[in-house]
Amino acid sequence: MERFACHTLPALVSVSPLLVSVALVASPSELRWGADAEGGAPYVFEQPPGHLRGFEAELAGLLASRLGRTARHVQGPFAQLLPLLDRGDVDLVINGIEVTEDRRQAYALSQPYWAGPERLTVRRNDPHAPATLADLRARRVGTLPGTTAERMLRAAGADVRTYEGGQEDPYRDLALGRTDAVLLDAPIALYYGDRPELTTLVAGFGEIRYAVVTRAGDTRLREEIDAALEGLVRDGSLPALLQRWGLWTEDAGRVLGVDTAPAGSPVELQAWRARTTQGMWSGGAGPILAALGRGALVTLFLSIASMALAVVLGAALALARVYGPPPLSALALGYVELFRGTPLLLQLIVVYYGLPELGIRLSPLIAGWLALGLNYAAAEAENDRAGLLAVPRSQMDAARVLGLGRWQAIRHVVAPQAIRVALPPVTNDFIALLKDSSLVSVVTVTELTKTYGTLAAATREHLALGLLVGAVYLLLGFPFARLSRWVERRLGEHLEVAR
Amino acid sequence: MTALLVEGLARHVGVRRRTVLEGLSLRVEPGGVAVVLGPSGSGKSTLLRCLAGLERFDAGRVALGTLEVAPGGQGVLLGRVGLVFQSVELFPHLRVLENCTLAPRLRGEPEGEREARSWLERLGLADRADAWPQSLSGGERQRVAIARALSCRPAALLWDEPTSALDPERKREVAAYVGAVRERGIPQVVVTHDAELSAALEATNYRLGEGRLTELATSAR
Repeated sequence: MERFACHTLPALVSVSPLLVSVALVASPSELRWGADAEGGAPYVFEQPPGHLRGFEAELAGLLASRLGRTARHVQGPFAQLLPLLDRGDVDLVINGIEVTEDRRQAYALSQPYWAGPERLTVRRNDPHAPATLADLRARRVGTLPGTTAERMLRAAGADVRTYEGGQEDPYRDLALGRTDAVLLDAPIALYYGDRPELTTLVAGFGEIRYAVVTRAGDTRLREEIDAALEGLVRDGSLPALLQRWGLWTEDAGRVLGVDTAPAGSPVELQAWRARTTQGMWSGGAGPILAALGRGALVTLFLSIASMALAVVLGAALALARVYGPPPLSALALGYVELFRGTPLLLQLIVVYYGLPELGIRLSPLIAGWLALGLNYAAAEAENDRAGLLAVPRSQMDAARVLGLGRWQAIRHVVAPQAIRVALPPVTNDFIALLKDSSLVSVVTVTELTKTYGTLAAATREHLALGLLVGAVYLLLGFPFARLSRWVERRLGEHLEVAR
Repeated sequence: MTALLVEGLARHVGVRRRTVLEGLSLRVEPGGVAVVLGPSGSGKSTLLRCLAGLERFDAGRVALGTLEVAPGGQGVLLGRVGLVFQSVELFPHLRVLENCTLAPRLRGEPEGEREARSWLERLGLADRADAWPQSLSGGERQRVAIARALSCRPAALLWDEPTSALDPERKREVAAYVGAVRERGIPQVVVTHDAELSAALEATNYRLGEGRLTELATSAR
């Protein structure tokens, strides 16, 4: 244990700056655009898995080529897209971001590329279904958090239910009778409100506009984007794009300055509807399994690397606490209290979005690895400490009398006995870490749970995919549980002999 | 051949500096045995811990042959003075032979294993070299502890209540082990409150009381 601590920790520490610098190099010819593929159709989604689709994915491609750059999608959770922009991880965000006064103040917004109403969806057979905003007073209404729709609902006095999990959830709950209505942007209602038991009212409410978001100081890029959008309107490619996705509205025509509706039919909308009725395996099992496999590998390697950090650091902390001089021991105790007493999610967000304020910019994987490792080190330190304290102090005396130095005694006499005690809870923590690693999706790492969210948004198969992903987690953890039991048996060999 | 010499040893403990040992003196010649008798709490264990180098003493001196130890310098005694613990303290995760060879191996003494095997043999444990401590009887464990201490070639050997955990039959054997060590010319200190043991040993008997040693009549064989 001691030797491990001496040689591995410096190695890990020396490698990390390398990874940081590699990950942060952004080619100037790339246009990095942020969007959450878990958000779903028609904005940005994956279908088949690993293949990005959506009207905004196409728009990003068109804008990039007008700018003479190549579009590179950066996956981030919807709520973190603007922080990612602040952090400089993306050049712009294109993900149904509504134009609001607040955002105008904080960011440089482009001209709108879409405009349209909020739409109200209700149950088809509900005799008391609301039909106007006034009807929504005190009724349970689902929507997505932080949207114009939510503000409208609050103003109307509705009992608002917001959903973090994606665009499908509000409509699913409505169909199940858990809510009375859903108010959301027209494109969402069009793609997810389309269920046999639901109906969307023809008359919309209000008008929302989507714009490309760039950093406040980045006016040059904003101007380039505006010019590019204008070009896309003039040559007809943006109206045609909206039409293909079934998103052409009068409002859109007005804000884009186009009087006549573009020709063509909503082929992408039709294709989406056809695919979702066919079920998730229609494209073959290959792409879905490949996507899950990629997610599982990220989860597995991130968990192993984080656990390695946690075990090494935890051992050092436990040794400092039990055998260190008082100041070092107090420091180790402070570390444990700090990291054990605050939420992992908070630590992750602080490491990724907070540290850049101090000039420390970590790549997503490194930030996730570091946050998970530092957090679990506190737990491992306590496991190891319990193990060290389980060995009688007289064992240390016996070793010292034989002439072993303090470290030799710890390494050859105390630690081998302590590890056996600490191993079961450490294994338990590894399985817990495997699951907690899903939190790193907030720093744009697409691991297994995020893969599930993206796949479910694209296929609408929440149950089947959920069971499948659950099985993958079980499979990932199982070998380690087995390995741990085997090691425990080996370490406990001396206790199994009959007298 | 070394002698163990203790002069004016004092030990105070706790914030109130309670006196445990005060002006304690003792001389054990090469091959000699000192038996220290005394009730519980009289400081017998503290004396052994000071002599083994596990605990500091506050005044006086300890000399082991030409090695002089002043207050605070007790660390040099570690590895030089053997101690057979009352609770034996074998390392449960190491086999019998490994228990005996761990310290010599870490000190880079290749002859450690030969020494260990020869002591195990002399103590009747030759066939137990690969056994786990857990599988041994109480008497066997104590003999392993003796072999382990002697495998380090100590300049002196200390015994802490060696008969307390043994049945009467085994108790008599302890005297024989002390005798075997005596043949090597190693000075020994045996702390006990077992009068039978002190009677069986050819030793100078002392009583520990109020922090000092008082010599009793030499026991006759």
